[in-house]
Amino acid sequence: MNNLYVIKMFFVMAAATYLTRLFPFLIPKKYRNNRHLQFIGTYFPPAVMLLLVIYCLKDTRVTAAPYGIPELASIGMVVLVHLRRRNALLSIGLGTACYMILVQTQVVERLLAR
Amino acid sequence: MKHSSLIGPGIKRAFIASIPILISYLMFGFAFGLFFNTLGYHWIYAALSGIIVFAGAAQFFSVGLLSAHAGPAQIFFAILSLNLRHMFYGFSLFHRFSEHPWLRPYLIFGLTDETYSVLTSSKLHDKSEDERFCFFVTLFNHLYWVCGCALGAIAGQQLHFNMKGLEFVMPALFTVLVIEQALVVRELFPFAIACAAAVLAMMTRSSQMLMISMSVVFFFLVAKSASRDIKHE
Repeated sequence: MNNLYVIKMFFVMAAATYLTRLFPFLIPKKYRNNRHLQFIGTYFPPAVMLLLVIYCLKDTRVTAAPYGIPELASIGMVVLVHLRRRNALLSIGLGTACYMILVQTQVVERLLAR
Repeated sequence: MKHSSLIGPGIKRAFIASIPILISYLMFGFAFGLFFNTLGYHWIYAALSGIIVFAGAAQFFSVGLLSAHAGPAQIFFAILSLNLRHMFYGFSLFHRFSEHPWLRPYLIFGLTDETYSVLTSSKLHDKSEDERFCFFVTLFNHLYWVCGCALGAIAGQQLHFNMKGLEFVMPALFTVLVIEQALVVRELFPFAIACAAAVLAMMTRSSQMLMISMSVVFFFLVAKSASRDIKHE
């Protein structure tokens, strides 16, 4: 544990976050409708979000039991619940609960071993 | 009559408008606190994260980076990219954050997804009063968030239940954001390029997979945007 490191990194994170929130206030009015800025601002965020999903799941082992089935099932759960209810808290809660149950009970491994 | 103090009718309106966020921030913050607790730090650090950073997705994401002891540059660019979705938030609020210039830095600091959605959905007629409203919505949301973070971390220290698999809150959160983004842009190519960039970055087997893939996406978009101009001419 390194308390000073964590505090320093909080400030680094805060600086990065503050910059993104400050950005629109810094751009002169005439550039606000700049097509390139609008283009990047529209299409970069969706790509980044998918990259983050992939990044979070990249260490999943698909060559050995449980073959990434808990991850796949839980992501499926999040997608389904979210498309139906559009409630972020509910989708994330149910998806995470699903994953925790699957990995803690090892139910997939047991079913595969039978 | 103009109030010289900050307290006015704006504060009551702000509290009422922020009630839905009270519930969602307490719960989300709680989840963050539980998750942050897996790092093994005192609960006060979860609260400090809420006070200093005040960005939900970024704070969740930081747990992985902090446990891997990532350096400041890596953390800076990861959080910058993650929060770039805020890039155009301020545009519609510019004129509302102008009456009290000394409040503006805090109003910008606290411009989370949720604060933004509350502020853009209601507005007070009196300009000065409206900015007070904006300030208190931001402040209340910040308080709810910090309380949630602290309570979650305290609960995590007391309860000792099996947390295995709790890290799935991150991919789950980002999946929700992918869906929300997809419903807005309604185009496939940002997702296709993300997949291609991810495969490319993973082939390099570098520990900087995220940085590499984000750069690939960014340069692809810059090139695509520039090539649109050529086609138009």
